[in-house]
Amino acid sequence: MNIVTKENARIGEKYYYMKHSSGLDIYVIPKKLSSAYALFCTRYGAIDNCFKLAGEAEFTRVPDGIAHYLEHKMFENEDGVDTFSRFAAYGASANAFTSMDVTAYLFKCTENFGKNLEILLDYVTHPYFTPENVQKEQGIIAQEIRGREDWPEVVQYVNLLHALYEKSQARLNVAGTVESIAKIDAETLYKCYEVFYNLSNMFLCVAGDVTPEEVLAVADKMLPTEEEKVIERCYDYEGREPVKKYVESSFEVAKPMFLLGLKDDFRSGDAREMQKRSIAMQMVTETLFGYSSEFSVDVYESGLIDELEAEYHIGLAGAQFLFGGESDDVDEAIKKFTLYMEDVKKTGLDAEAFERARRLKYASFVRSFEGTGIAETFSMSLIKGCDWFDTGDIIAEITLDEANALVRELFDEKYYAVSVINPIEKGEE
Amino acid sequence: MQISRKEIFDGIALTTVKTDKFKFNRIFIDFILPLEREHAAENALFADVLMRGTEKYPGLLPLQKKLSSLYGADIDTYVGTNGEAHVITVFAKLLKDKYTLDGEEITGEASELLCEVLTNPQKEGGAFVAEYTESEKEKLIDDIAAQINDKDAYALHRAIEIMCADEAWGIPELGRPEDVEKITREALYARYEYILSHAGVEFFAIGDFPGEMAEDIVRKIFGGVTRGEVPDYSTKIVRTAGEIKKAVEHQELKQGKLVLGFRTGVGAYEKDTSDALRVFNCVFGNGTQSKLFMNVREKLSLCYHCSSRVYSKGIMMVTSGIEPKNYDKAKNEILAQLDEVRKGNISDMEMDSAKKRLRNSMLSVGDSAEAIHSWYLNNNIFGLSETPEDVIKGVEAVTKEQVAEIAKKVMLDTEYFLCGEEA
Repeated sequence: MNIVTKENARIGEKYYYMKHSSGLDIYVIPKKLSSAYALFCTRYGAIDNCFKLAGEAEFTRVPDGIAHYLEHKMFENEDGVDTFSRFAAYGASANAFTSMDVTAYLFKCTENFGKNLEILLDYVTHPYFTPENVQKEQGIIAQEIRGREDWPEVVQYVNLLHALYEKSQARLNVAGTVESIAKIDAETLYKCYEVFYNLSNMFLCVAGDVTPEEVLAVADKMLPTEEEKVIERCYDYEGREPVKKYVESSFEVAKPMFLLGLKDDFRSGDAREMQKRSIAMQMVTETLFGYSSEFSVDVYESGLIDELEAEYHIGLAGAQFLFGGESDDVDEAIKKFTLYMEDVKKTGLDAEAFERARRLKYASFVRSFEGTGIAETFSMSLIKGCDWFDTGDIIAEITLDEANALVRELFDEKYYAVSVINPIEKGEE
Repeated sequence: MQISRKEIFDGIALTTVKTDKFKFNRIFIDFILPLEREHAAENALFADVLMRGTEKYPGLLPLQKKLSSLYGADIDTYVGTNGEAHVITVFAKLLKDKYTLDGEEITGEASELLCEVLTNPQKEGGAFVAEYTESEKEKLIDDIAAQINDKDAYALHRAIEIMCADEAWGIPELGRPEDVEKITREALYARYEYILSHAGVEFFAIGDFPGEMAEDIVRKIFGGVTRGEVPDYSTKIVRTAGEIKKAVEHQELKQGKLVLGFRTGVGAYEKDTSDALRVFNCVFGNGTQSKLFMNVREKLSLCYHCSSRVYSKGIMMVTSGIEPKNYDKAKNEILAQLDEVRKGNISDMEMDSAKKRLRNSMLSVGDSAEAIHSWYLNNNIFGLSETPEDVIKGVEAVTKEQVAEIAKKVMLDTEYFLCGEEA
């Protein structure tokens, strides 16, 4: 097997890449630590609700929340032994998560790495869904969804996505709704499994004191060779204008909360371009709204905005810039942001602040390599087709001009939507 | 990894953890005080005011600009409790010089800045600046009010308040809004001076600081301080519960938040029982092999999460999010599972999983600077000298009978439920 090594000498880190004979991409990031972290990921998340295999005539549409439901049900096994207990016997702590564009199965352990990896590769390649075990999960996932509905930040975010998007998958809830998951059955789960859990649509990433040979030996033992399947996904892209400019909800919270979203319709087949845009926008965000920005200090000192947050998020189905916080005067906070951005478009970013942002972002890039958590960071980057190891160089290279061009391209009041959570007082309902 | 601890001044100890595992060097300065109603708010506030400006960097903007130019040197503070100790932590997270983009040296300068923040706050007429004090008071009051936003944490916090109304552990770590309001900048400055001179101080340097740098920083910060006697911050263990306290509170919610508070009957770190208590917690309610997960969630599908946690106070809290109509079903199942442990109905697999889970988490401590810090801070607060390896050995020897013995001592003290009106 050909093992490719990629090194970042500046920070003393490297990874190994192998294309396994089964079709699976394998990445190993050596770390001299006691624990090891492995993630087995499929390029399949909440946004993949409409798809077909190459050659099929029609697209299949499935109920919302199915990728997440499937993740829960992968823990069932035909012999009745649940997956958690298999891992527990070897001292690993196992888990899984689903997001917009990925489902990841993972474990962390300090001993018996090979045994635990065998279990991981085994259970994810052996689905066992029955009407009974699928039914049993309804109550559990319903409470997972209900629990999230009690988080004002979550409701605010979901409301915002619904204001920004009309039909794009970017508006979906990862877990679906209590109503949508009621439509899920074993047959549909199998259908999705067959399409998306093909090894050519998956990868394995490991960080720890582990050699590529060790990982390969387990892969050889556990993985069948699979025929590559070509998946066509139907994403409903849309323009930049939001559906609604303003949405609100009420909650028992201390202060009004607001979240402004700016819709970006960026789409590119080129992962590197996407990675560059994402990093550039993170540097822009740090320059404009980081702790040491005049804006942030100003609203902190005046008390206009508490818990200020700003971020740029780019996914396969859509990208958004978000700006939010808590304020007694939401209108004023939004106005201040809007005027500030108009001003920045005219004057450009402060060069010195941009250089500070570069250093800060570089430091957090280096920090991402401190623990085995790098396996997760690396995997989430891979899902978008990007190589996390390149991040440091991109941070070093991005110019002020590029950043300014992005600011001028993106920020326009026309594409803003605002989601507000108003407090309700007791007895007022 | 080499760990050593030495007392530099009265009640001020430096723990040095030498390791090249991490890309950052970290300093943690823990000020340890008793959790007291009359001082909780001041303790929580003083460090926030320190972060508003120093004589050399007057104001938030100059200070933050300086920090970010040092590769976002993260110097900040947080407040917490450990048992009935109130712990105010000032930390610095500094990129190692060898990783800077152009080889700039930042460690020395950032360390200076940390000393400056702690010893040379911006002043006005011999006390903190009025504007900063008033502004941080408002923010602290906002933070206290905002605890209602996180419903799970709020429910847990309310249950603890009700359960420990007459104990220090029931005192809110940020103080009460009315206490914050009363604080003057002069009183706060006096409290700051008191804390420097009286609080127990655990100073941690984790990473590879050059030469004697860590000790020099301690000397710079505390060299000019006349130290008095450290006040008693030990934790009082209440071993039994009286009549069960019950409370139901309402908010507009989609899900009910159930909290059950138990007295474990033992202190968390008592020599004869601490390892059995750890195993008990895992068998009963911590992890996917625990009885709570396997039964309340997997068997009865009542919830997404249901778990137990044991605190340094010797108290165990069980939390779960449920459909309000299932209140009795969930509560009864939790108590029934506790009874199973009391009866010794523990399978070999449950024991084995619990021990392996603990072993795995002990072996992982050394992989994170934060985990190393909290481990040894905990040791120092409770006068222990345990290593994670000691716990592994102790846990290995625990028997089912010992776990059942712990469960027999565990007593329900408080039932708390936060839910919508219709329940």
